[in-house]
Amino acid sequence: MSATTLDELISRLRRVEDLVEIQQLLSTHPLAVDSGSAEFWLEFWTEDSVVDRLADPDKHSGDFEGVYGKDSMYKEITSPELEALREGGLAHFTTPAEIVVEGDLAIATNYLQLIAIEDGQYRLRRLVLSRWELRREDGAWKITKRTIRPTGHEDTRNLMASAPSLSRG
Amino acid sequence: MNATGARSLEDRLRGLEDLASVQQLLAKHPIAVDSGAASFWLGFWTDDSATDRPAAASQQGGTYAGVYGKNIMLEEILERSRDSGRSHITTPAQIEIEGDQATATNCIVVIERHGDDSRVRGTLVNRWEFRRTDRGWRIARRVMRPADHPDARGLMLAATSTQKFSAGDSGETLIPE
Repeated sequence: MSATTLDELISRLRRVEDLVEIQQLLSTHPLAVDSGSAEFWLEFWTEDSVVDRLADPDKHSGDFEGVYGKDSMYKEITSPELEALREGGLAHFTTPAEIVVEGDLAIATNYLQLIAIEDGQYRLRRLVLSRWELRREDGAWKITKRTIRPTGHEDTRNLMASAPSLSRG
Repeated sequence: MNATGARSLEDRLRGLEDLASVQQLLAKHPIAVDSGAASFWLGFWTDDSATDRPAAASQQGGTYAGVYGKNIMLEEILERSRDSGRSHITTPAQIEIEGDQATATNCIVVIERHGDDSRVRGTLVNRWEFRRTDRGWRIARRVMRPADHPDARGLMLAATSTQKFSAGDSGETLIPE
């Protein structure tokens, strides 16, 4: 056994546990939204959490844009527009997130493809980048903010470039 | 550190190892199936394992349907053509571990080449069930439904009705009660 102390070991273990908890939390996102489990999904958001998004020209999840809180998120997840897509066969398709944890705060960045079935054909409806901001609250990670930008938008590249691991080298 | 504390650290580590093992098992799936490595892939399934799927409308998975075991799975994988460059692209799975059992839910997009284009041929929801064996984690059952199948939503709902992976502050266990 090297000189690694037990405290160091515990703190290393904690770091890996934090990463895994955030990975598992984000892996719930597509399943919750595609199944319409709005209440389940919003339990993983803090009370003061917000979504920041632009208007979706297709309004695939209703008419939501700007910065809004959990009440609107609930309406969005349960919107008739999204429900219609679900009935046709919808997949929110995410990539593994790049995650940086700093104490009780974390930032995660990943892509989301929205693939719908329309007239028997699969269609890529949206390709967006999500930046997730998380906070440890009562021992559990929760989302405080999600910024969504479509690929090709000027903000999107900045969001990727400002992922903490990239901007800190 | 007393003996209890030491055990608790080991439990926490085991929880992470279990999760990593299941993730790595799932990561083999696209690579194994798209390359036709049927024996390799089925080596990670229990002897009594089963696949549960409806017939594919496009026949992209052949004519296989219903609940069937490893012999049929072997035929199914070997029968498929690899000419179209068919690729299974998966989402990171949501994983629940309970002692020696685990379940994982993920989505798969099947993409095929058509001339110079690549086209989506299917979006699938998968529920994977695992068992810890003497040789490590093995797949015991896979339930697969296309995203537009009436059962698809139920598979996703099942994954969003349980507590997610949580280490908890006490670190005594990684498995929520």
